[in-house]
Amino acid sequence: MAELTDRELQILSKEIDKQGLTYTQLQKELLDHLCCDIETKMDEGIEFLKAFEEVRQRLENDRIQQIQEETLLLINQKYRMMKKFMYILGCIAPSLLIVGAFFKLQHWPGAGVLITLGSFLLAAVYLPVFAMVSIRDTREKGKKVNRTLYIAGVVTGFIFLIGILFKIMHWPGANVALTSSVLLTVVLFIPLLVMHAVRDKENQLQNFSILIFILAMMAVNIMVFALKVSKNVLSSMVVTAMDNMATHDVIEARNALMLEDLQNNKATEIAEKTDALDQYLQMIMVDIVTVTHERNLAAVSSDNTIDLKKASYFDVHKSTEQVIFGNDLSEGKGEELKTALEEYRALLLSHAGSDLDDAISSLLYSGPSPRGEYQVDWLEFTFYQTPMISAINILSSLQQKIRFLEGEVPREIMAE
Amino acid sequence: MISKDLLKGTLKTIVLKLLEEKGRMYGYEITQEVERLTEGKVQLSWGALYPALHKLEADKLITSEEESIGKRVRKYYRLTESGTSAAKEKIREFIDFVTIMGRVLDTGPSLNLA
Repeated sequence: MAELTDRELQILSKEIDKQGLTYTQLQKELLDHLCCDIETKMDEGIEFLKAFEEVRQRLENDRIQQIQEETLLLINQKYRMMKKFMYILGCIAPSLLIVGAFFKLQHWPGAGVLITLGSFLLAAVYLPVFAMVSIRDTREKGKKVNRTLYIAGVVTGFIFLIGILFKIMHWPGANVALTSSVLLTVVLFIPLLVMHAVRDKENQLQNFSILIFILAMMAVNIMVFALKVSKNVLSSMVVTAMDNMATHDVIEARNALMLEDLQNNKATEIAEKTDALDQYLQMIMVDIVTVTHERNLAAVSSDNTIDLKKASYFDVHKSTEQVIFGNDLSEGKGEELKTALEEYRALLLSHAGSDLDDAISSLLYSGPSPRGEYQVDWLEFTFYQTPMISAINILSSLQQKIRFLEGEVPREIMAE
Repeated sequence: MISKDLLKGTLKTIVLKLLEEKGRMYGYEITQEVERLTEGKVQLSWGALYPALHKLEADKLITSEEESIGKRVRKYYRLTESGTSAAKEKIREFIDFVTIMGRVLDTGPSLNLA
């Protein structure tokens, strides 16, 4: 049997290449078929070039592109469905996340479900399907599939997305997941990707963009850890509020003892008013703590004392605003609080000597304060956009201050 | 010459039958064998043969292996386990079909396939 020379093989190879096939499996096969055809003809005594001419006629008649299309259509039905599924999912999952994020911002119910579903679809369905489709695409183009890279990518991406989900939902384990995803990215995924990008010259732009994207995501990942800082601020505020409460209790107890000894009308009147205002402040605090989240109910005992250690949600300012300024359903307690505070201050000022006037006025100040260029009302300055724990801080501090003055004013009266 | 339309539905059966007999074959070999068996009356075009082969492979009725022939690659096909039983069934089905068509078209006893 005749055998083609290398040169002749090259001519045929070029002819097949000219047809622009992308499915290399088929390309190789057609080349072999073409060679066999020509070799047979050469056995019959036909010269290569003449045989080639004849076969080329057939090439044109058969329309190779169409053969490829038909072949791919036949064998890729499942794959094409998977690809379609991937596109649809690619639209649904982020939409769920965006709507969920909006719900969360508005504190509407259902935010958690939307975000969980969106992240889950993205991490557990879209990511693996994308990898499968991509592997298939690469293989079809006749290139070697970098399996390790895909597996590393899917695993890292999965852990990262789940970590973000857990973080947003305040579920335990979020930090472990995020830390491991950063570690995996640095020690596994980025080196693999760079190695792959160096070898894969054709898709350099694409690979480079992926690398940049991964680095940016890592920055986001690390920034999520920065949220911890604000968490530290929150917990220090909790400590301050609890200190206020403890100090208040000590002063209150001491005042009660002192009042028994004094038997003074003015002191008794001040004590009564202080008790009333103290209780009113306590009621507002309980309201703010419980309106924040129903799980905070655990922090309030039957006698209305608050144990912040048992509360879970601190950084919501809607609850402060709702209690102080009111909403459609309930009236705010802010104005009443301000009036009560002003009356109490007036009472102290009328009973106390001039030495304490400055202290009373500054400790119980309820006038306007500057915010930016404007002067704003005391209520707005103190409670607008104030997270629950800051409001508790301010109110418990007020309780502490009135108990302090409750003790100081009679002491001054007695001294005169 | 047998028309393409008639061939279309039976091509897979032909391929399976040939592979059952010969063990393993490559594309060109199949076209030659078909031509030889039909005395040139059936000439498989690339457009008919290769999509069918790849479909059979995707359905896991046949598998392929590549072999280097000089500087080019040759792809051999062989039946899988499920392909072997599918081949038997398809041949059976096709013979039934031909017998029935023979009766319908009244070509009489000249049909001698089994």
